[in-house]
Amino acid sequence: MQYTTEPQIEEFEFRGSAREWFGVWIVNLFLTIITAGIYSAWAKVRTKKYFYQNTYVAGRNFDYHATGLQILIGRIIMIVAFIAFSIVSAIPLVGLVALLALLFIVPFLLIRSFRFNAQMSSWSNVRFRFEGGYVPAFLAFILYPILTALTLYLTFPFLDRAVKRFTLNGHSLGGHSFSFDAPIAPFYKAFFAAAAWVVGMLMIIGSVVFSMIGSIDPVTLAEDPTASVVLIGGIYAMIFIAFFPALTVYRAFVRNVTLNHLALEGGHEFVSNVQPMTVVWIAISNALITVLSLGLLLPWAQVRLYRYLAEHTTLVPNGPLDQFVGQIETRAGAMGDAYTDLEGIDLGLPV
Amino acid sequence: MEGGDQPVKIPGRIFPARSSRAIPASLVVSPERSVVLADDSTLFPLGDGVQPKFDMPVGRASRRLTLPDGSLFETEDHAAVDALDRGSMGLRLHRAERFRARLVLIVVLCFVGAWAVWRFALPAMVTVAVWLTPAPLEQAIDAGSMQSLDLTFAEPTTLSGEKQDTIQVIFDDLLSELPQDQRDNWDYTLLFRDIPGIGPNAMALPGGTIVITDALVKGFDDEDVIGSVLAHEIGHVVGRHGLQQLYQSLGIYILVALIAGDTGPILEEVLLEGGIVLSLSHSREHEREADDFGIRLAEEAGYDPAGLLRFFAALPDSGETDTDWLSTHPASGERIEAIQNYIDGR
Repeated sequence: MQYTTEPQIEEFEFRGSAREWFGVWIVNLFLTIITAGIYSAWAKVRTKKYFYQNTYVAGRNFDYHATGLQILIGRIIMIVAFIAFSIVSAIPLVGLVALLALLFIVPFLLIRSFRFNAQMSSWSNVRFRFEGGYVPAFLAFILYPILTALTLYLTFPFLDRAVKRFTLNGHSLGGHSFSFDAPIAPFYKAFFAAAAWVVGMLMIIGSVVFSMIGSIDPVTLAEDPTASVVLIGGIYAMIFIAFFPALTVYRAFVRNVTLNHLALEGGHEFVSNVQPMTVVWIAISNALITVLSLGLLLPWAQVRLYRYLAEHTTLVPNGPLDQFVGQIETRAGAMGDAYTDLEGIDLGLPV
Repeated sequence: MEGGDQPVKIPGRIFPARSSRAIPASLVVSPERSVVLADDSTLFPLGDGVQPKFDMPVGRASRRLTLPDGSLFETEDHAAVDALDRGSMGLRLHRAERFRARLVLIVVLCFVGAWAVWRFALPAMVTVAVWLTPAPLEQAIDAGSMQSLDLTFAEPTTLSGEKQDTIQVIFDDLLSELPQDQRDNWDYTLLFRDIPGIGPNAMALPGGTIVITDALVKGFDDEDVIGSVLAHEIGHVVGRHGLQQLYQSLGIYILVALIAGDTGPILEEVLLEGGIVLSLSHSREHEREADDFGIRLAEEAGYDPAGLLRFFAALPDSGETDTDWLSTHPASGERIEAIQNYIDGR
């Protein structure tokens, strides 16, 4: 109590447990299987509710409000649209037009999806909101990715920052906007850290492969079957050890950058201090444990990662957190939501 | 509750409509009228005769009741809420989810269900997806695969133009024996590549591109061997085996995403990309189908299907290596026997 002038900080906290989540998860799984997948929409809601309601900051929790029926309808629309699109694209010229049209529809669907997810999420009884223009969405999700590909992904940090600017700046809570902007240097730091992981691992794998092949007589090397086994093994090792964890390294660094440069109108700030190597360790060991337990320890693995992320996230409020006032809700369709499901994009909580 | 007429008091807190402000409060439930009484003396009525209906419980997360005006009452008093909620669907589901011995039964049923999905639902999905795939997409897959192959393992062929022409003639002979519809459905292209490390080998891509390695052409100066191997590969194209493998791995990913949910970083990538990498190996069933198709086609085009057997015989035993023709095209004794039977029986 000596430092009364020091700003108060509020830690994010996850109050769920792996045991409890296992029960919810396995029953979700069972009902999904026996209903031929239909229940998965309700399972998704239950999953989100479990994690949101158990996530606390400043003594108040989050909640997720979509209903299973909304999610189901969204998914059915997306499946029908996908089949229709596949059929249409079989017609030579029309297919090309359809593909081009899709490029212009995707930003619209993404905006809808962000809006739906935001409106269905709340903290402390106040709903989130998302508003974003079509043109910025088109730039961030269609044009910039094309340009980035042209630079052989060397400018990927710029793309990533543009996407984060668009999505985060579009969000608000109870009339208070989120704002995010960051210099490019820390994004490149993350990029180079991931590149360093790839190079380091490739060197280790390369030297192992070389030392194994080196023992084979070079004259018979081309015909020696062991050489090709080692070579193919090396390629798998490259993919699983060098490339996949590098993505996690990048994301962990960027998570810190993103949250540390995020603010909520009124002077509220966030801090994230995850250790990228710890996140990689958790991710790798989680993957192994999940596979070795035939999936049964997946709930434990999920809680382990989620808790780690929550514990390394902090809100630095500027004064009381009672002034957020929700707006009268407008209707949000579930169509966009299903789209993010299929694309694997889920903004979720900042944890 | 025995004293059914006694009002019940549940402690908690209330968030007034659309506000983030939390005020300590109690919910007072009685048959005639239920209200939330906030500590600052504000009253939040539920309406006359309206019984409170809490959200479905999930784990030990706090229990939530939304009032008619949009205010939210929240409590940790699970026992009291459960008593109000007796017999509801939500409570039954919640009870089923408890971490108890009987969950073992659910786990077993899940494994059985997952097996059934794998055995029946997945093949059905793959069949529908293959049927829906338009030809331009198949050709795009071919172009993409050849690009990455040329970028990674494949070197330009060292075969003379003359030699290539000889093989092309065999290929055209085979194509001319295909039924009209099978000939028109795909854009058959024969490509020559020098791919060190995979030995004498050939592969078929979904859109009709067939790649033959220099090692195969150089190692077997035998029209019947080349003819029957190419016929086998044409069998993969006609049977759409490449697409089936691709969709199989995509299907596994979608099912896992749908059923198990978010698998977390790394494992997610392994499931998606790793599945596609693994899908490049062929299944035994597809090999048998392609054999069946190939030996008939080779024979019709005037090549001796026994060439395929000579090819098998000339290869080193499998088991030593994971990359030769025999492992990507598993040659069980059964398979050789089937070919032999066909040759003997004609």
